[in-house]
Amino acid sequence: MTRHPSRLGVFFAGVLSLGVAAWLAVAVIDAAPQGTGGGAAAAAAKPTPRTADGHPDLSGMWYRRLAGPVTKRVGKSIVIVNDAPPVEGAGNRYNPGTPKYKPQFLARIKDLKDDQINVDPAFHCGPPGVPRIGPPQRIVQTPRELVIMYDDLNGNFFRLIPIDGRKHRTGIEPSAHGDSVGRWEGDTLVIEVRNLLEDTWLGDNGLFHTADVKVTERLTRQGDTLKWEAIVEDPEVLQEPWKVTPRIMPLMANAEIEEAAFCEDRGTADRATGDYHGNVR
Amino acid sequence: MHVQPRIAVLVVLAVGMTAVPLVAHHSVPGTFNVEKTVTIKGTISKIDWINPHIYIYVDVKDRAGAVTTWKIETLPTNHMRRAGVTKDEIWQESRTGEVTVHMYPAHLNKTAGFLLRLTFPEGHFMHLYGEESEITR
Repeated sequence: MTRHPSRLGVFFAGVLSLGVAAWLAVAVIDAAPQGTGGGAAAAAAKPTPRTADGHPDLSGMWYRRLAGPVTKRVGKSIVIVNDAPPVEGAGNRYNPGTPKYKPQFLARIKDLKDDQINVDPAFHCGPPGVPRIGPPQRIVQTPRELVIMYDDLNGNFFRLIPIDGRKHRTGIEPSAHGDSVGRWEGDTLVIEVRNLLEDTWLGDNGLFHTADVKVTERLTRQGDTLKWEAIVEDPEVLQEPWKVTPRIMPLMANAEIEEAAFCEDRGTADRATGDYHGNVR
Repeated sequence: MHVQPRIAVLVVLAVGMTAVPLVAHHSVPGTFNVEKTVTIKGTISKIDWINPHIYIYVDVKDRAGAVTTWKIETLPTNHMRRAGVTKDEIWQESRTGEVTVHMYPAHLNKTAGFLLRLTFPEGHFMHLYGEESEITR
C-alpha cells in the first residue's frame, strides 16, 4: 500500500514564509483542526496572550492529534482523512522516538514488547503515565497552578501543577502521572515530574522505567501555538536522557474537552482474535 | 438528501485520500489483512461506543436464513467526536435496511474486520479509514 505525502510542499512553503522555520527544525507540527484556518504557522504569528503577572497564558484547548481526523462532508456522505500534513524528517505520523536502554535491559524490552498485548497496562485501560500520555490537551492556568486535562483513550485524566514556588510533595504514594512542579524560565514553563508509578510505560513496545524516573516537560506558547517538549531521565536503565520528539499544537477554536467514553478492557483472548488497539495519543 | 454513487466516488477522489495508519503499537496490519478488502451486507444490530475503539455489530444472513454476527472495529470515540460522527447518526441512518461494510478482514477471527467504509441503505456512506482504491479493488 503506497502512501503519498501530497501536501508537504504547500505546508512547508506557508510555514517558512511566516518565519517560524526554527520551530520546524526541531518539532513536529500537528495538523490544524478544521475551522481554525491557516494552520500552525499562522497561529504562531499571532500575539502571545499573557496573564496579569506577565507570564504567557497557556490556557486553552490544544489540538494534539497528529493523525486527523480531517472530515469532508458532501450531502450526507462523510470522509475522514487521517492524513496530517507530513513533516520532513518525522515521517507522516508522529513518532515520539525511542529511549536508548542499557544493553542488559534489551532482552527484557523484547519480552515485554512480544507480550505487550497481555502486559502493557495502557492496553488494558490503565492510565498511560508521563510522557506517554502526550502533550497537554486542555490547560487552565491560574497564578497558583496549571491544570492539565486529558481526554485519553483510556479515560479522563488530570494533572495539577503548582507554579507558585511550591516544592514537590513528600510522603505521598507514587501515581501514574506523578507529582509535578512548574517554574518559569523566561517564557517557558518547565515542569518537573517525579514519583511516577513504576507500572506505567514510557511508550509503546515495552518501554519500562524505574520508580526513580524523572521527566522534565517544557511548555512554550508562541501566539496560538503551544510547543511541548519532554526529557526522560532514568540512569539506572537508560544510557542517556531520552528526548521525546517535541510537538507543536495549534489552539483549537470553538472546541472544548469532553468526557471520555468508557474504556472497556475486553481481555486478551478477545483481542487475540481480532482487536486492534492503536495508540493515537 | 440522497447522494448518487457517482457523486460519492467523486467525493473520495476529490479529497485525495492519502490516509496513513493510526499510530499503533498493535498495528492494523498486525491484526487485520490490509491487503484485502472484504464486503458484507447486513443489518446493524448493536453499536458499542466505547474506548479504546468502537465496535459495530452487523448481522449477515446467508441464503438459508442463518444469521452470522460480524464484529467491525472502527476509530476511537474522540476521533468520531471531532469528525462530528455520533453513535445515534450511525444507528438512525441504518434503520431502514441493510448496510454495506467494506473492511480489512481480521487475520484470526473469520467474522471480524476493521471498518473502511459504511454505506447506508439509502446510498450515502461514511468512509472512515483507508483509501478509495481499497474499496474498489
